[in-house]
Amino acid sequence: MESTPRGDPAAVLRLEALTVSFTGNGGPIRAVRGVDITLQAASVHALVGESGAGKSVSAKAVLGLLPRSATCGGRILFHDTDLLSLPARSLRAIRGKRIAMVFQQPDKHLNPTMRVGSQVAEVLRYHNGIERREALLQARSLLDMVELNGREVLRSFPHELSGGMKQRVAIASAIACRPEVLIADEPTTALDATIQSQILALLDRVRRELGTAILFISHDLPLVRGFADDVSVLYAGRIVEQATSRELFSCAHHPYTDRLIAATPDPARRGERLAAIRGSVPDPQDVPPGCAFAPRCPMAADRCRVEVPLLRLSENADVSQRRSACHFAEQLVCEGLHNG
Amino acid sequence: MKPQTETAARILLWLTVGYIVVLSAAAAAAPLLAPADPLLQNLPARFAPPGSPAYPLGADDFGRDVLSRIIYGARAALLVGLVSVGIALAIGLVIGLTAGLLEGPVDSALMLLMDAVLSFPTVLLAITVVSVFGYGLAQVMAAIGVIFSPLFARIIRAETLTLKHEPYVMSAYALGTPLRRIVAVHLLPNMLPKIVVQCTVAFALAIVIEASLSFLGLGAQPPQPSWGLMLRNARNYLFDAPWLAFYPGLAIGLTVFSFNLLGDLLNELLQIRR
Repeated sequence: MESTPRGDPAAVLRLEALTVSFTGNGGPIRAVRGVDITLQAASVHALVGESGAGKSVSAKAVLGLLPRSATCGGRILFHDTDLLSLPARSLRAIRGKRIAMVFQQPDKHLNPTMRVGSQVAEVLRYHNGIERREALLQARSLLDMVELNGREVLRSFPHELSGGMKQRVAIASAIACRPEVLIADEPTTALDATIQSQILALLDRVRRELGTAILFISHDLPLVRGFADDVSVLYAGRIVEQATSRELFSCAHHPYTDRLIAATPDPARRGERLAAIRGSVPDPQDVPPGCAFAPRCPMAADRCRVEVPLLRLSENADVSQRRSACHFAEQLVCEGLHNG
Repeated sequence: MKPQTETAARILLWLTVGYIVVLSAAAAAAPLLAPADPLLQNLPARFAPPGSPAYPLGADDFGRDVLSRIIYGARAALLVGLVSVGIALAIGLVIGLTAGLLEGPVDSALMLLMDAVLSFPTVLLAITVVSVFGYGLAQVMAAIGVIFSPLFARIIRAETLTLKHEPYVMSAYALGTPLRRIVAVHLLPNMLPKIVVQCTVAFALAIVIEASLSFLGLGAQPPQPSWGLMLRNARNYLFDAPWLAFYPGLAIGLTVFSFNLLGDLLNELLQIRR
């Protein structure tokens, strides 16, 4: 397996051969089975996959948020520090200050009994040791920065805000300490389409203005187009394809990515049946040997059912960094499958 | 709840709150309100019936003013309620939070201990404790505090277990919030409604237990004015001077009823808001 060049100065966060398994009743549940991701400074790396692909689990592993039943392997390097071997106290100093996280359901991620201003100020108070009054002032300008009316929202309770506003509040507390990395775990999934694009625009502004690198988790491949710099497509705990967003959307090098792109509704093909992917994601306790996607793959051959395809640079890659985990990556002709 | 029921509940709530406020004010301002010294004996006025001049609720076997003794007795009752619920809440918080946050064997051990305390009949356990540590109000308060601590420990543990998996607690944790801040800012305020309800119920129970122990001669000691003690004294004259039992009994009944009702109503009203 190719590994990222050591000492890459632009890389802020590197997951190296990350594995996560949970203790389950019928044996271990291997949720993440060797994931390598490099997040470059001030860039957006999207982690895309279906439910159960291991995207959220990987993200939570970075901040040590997994339940005790989880065991992690591999390394998670933040600059040159391995977060997996860091003592709890040091990890806590990094959480929220240098790596922050925004979650999926903004409704549930704010304390209902606490004014919004205090919740944002909270982060500043213990990470930067600022006293209450000063922290509230800073919270107000943070709320202004996420395009809310800071003066008003500061004194509101969460139930007085809409879902989109709550997500902005969550983003405000996440960026309060100007973190180097922001992990966004499906931050727009619970919001409607117009708010979705506003939140993406806000995250993009955060990236540009604060230089925050964003690990963006989504099940929605088309959503990350034009927003993410790099995309990793996850399937059953492994990365099946990794490329820059431009490359990936111009031409898929893995049948799964190809089918995902083909499954996107297209207004030009109104009335036609959507190209759904038949079958469903394998049970994480019973992943088929060989390629996990083989049972659903239109191209699967005998070799796919026995031999696990490694994530490797495609031979016909147009740009050097693009990788695919398919035995037949070279035979995937662009557009060939889309129309087929 | 239907709107009319809710309105009725609100009116009842204000009535009970009103009674409790009046009672507390009377207890606090007892020296100003009470017509006489509750300990002052006046043998010629023995068994003066209610309505006698200077004895609106009558006089007891020593010629002491029943009204004054009831007003001063409210002090003892409320004090016992406050202190014993305070002790129970403090112990319950420590045990409940520890068990809920740590889980595992610590949780099992602590909850086993709490169940052991709960498995004894309350009054019997209180009698045992008081017999060992001596008679008196202070001992009674300490005993009730310890005996009631499982009531708080159990709901606080349950709430901790639920709340700690709330997304906002997870969020706060992901932003590096220290544990003590999570407890103070996220856990306690969100379990407050349940704790308040439990406090009112425990308060009412504490008053009953104090009265029972004082009635048995294990709590307040004569000549201290205490409702339970007044009942104990009155049992010798039930037929000759029934008012001696009636008024303290009424005071106990109304007070306990009010706190119980307050607990129920708060419970319902707070649940609606959820």
